[in-house]
Amino acid sequence: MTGAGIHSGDLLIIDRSLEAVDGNVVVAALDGELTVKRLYKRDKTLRLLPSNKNYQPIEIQTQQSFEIWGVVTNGIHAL
Amino acid sequence: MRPIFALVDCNNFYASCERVFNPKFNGQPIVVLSNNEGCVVARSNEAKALGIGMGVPEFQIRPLLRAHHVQVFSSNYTLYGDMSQRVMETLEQFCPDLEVYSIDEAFLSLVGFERQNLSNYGREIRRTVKQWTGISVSVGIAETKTLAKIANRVAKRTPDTGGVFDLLACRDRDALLGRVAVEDVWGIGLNHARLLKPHGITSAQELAGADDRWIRKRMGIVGLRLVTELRGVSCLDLEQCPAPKQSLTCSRAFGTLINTLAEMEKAVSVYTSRVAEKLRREGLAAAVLTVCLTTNEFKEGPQYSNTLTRKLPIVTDSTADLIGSALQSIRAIYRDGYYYKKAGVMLTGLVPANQTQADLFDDQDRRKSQRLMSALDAVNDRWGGGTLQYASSGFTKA
Repeated sequence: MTGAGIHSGDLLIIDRSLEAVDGNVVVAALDGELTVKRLYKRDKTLRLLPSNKNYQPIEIQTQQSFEIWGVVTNGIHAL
Repeated sequence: MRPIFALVDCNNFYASCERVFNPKFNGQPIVVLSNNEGCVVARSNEAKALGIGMGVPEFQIRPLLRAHHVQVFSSNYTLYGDMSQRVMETLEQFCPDLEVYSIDEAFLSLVGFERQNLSNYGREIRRTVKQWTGISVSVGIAETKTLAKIANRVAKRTPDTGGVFDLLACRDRDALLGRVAVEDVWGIGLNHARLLKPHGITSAQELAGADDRWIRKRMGIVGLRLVTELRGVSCLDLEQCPAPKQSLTCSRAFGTLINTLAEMEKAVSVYTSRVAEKLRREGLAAAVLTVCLTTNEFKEGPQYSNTLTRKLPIVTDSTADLIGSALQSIRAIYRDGYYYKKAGVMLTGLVPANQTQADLFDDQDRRKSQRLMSALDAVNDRWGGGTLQYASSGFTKA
């Protein structure tokens, strides 16, 4: 997620009380794996967008187990 | 005003806590084991369905665990305590009158909320706790605590309730109480159930219909109160100020079995320091100290366990006094030639520390000792438990 200013080893602050909306950076559990991505949520389409151009967007299929774990509000980057 | 209680209970709490941070175990059987002894202390629904019982030692079910790829966790009480606090803080947002009944249960007083649909309110509580903490809860609503417990049980076991059951809105209460076995009623243990069954009382409904005098004679005032609650008359209020503690304990199994007095003294010394910290945090002092030790009954070899309770020379909250007494006691009951699995220290006769009586023959400077204890606690709070400890606890950080 370097495009969103998040680097490997960073600490993230996650607010679980927020309802995730389109454009939020979220921690999601997709098929049991935790991942950090930007959320695309329009009409009935849900996608997880990596900000690293080397990765492809992930379209959430209805048969997949998917849960928004929390909304990332801040990141702490070690110097 | 008619009381209304909601009992909010976390589903398979320890197992759920582990899953929040390991979502890949959702839908898979998991169990949590107690530290060192390795007995099952929590099971996910999938593990319950495999017939894994509560309290069973892990080695007895190892083949079953392997065959079904059951995920096994050792208990992480720091995590569970933290998650519990988050759940309780979330509940406080919904209702100011709340009794934290245990690590994973709370009673809420819903008096004043009657204007809204209570089931809907329960669902909102459930949804919010799930979103904010990741923990699933069940909500049971009724006009007494005992009935709220039953309603909660219904909510938990009947999937089409959606995890919320309002007994006040239930049309056929008698039939429902008829389906609750008497031993599943809050406060009725197996012993009471055994006493009741020969008299034709096998369900909650039959218990509610029992004769007052008969119940009073057999089960005392506590039993009568319980039966009255089953009839819908509230006898147990919300306890918002927890009753002062009756006892404090630190007891745990050793990482490796102990077979020397020196090691045992070290362990007892560490446990006493812990329980003394708890004591001071509660602002209490103790009059009586009990130590116990035991070998591993699940292993072959000679077995021994013993307990010694002694009145302390003075009512005290000082780690030094308590360690002194605990070491005397452990030396008195320690026997050579055994491999010990566990020891414990318990303090009873607790009174507020500022109400202790001065002792005529007490030759120590109490104010000095108090300052020492404050300094000890401050150091350990700041730099972590066991940073500063008595030499009898050994020289490694406990």
